[in-house]
Amino acid sequence: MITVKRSTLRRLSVLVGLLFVAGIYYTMHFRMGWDWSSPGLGRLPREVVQAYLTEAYDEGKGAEAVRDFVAPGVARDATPPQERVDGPAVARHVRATLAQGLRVVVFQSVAPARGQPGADVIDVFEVRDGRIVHRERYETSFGR
Amino acid sequence: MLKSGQSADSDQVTVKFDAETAWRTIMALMRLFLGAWMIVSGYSYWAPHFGLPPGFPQPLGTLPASNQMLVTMIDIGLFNFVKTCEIIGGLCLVFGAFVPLATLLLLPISAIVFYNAIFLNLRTERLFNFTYMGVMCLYMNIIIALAYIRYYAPMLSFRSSPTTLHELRRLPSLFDAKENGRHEA
Repeated sequence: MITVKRSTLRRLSVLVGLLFVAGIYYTMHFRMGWDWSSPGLGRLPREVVQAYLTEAYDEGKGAEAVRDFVAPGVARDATPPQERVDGPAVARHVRATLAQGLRVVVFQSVAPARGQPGADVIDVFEVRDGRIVHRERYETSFGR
Repeated sequence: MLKSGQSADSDQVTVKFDAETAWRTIMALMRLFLGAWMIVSGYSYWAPHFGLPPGFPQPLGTLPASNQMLVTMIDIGLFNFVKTCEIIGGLCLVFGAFVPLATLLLLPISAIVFYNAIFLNLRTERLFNFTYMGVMCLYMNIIIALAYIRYYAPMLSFRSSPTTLHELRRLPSLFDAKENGRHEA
């Protein structure tokens, strides 16, 4: 049996709580193997796709966009050639963006650029852990 | 936290090494751990909004139904509310303030975390995995609520009647430690 001050117990309790906070933060941040180099980590799939398309088309930094936002192994097979390389900005008009869960669908018209003809396309993306892990492109005509 | 005996007039408490002290210690540790988890979880959601590093990236689920629920909740802004409640409730649990209220506040959040883990992500094999916070949040929350049941008992009255707004005069007494039993360390 021991006698202690109530305020001491209260302080001890808070201290233990703060130690738990620090321990949980440390474990979750450093021990779980997150790819913190991915700028899309923790962002919504729609935001990741928008950031990728902006970097690749609007800023003309295709190689960097692929490095930042496309999962290794997906880039070469799934991304159109004009997206993968750096060059002048590519004009495009986004008609609609639909997102459900991890899937994002972009309806856009892309102007001719970097040796590729212009086209109306439907781009389908799947995003996991801040990176595009699946990509399909369907050419179509929006009937201007 | 460890109080077994107390004097109403002094700041001293006598701690006996018995089953009651063990129970109170376990409840206190559980309360502190759940609070700490909620703080880190809530902080991790809000941190990137302020350019700070999160504890962990906001999970968006593994299976489609979970993806859909979580992304939609974030998209429509409901997560702003949820994560703010997590931080407020977590701070209350860690600092031992308004613990019964904070436990109730966090209960629906823990229930949704459980629903997401078990019913949407189908992680039934982890139903009794005590290191998996997807289920442990709810278990701890319920146990803590049971430990504070005497504060909820009046709310569970079978028969009740409305009173007047004069009862609001009692609000300042919420901060009176003696009035509320001085059971928190």
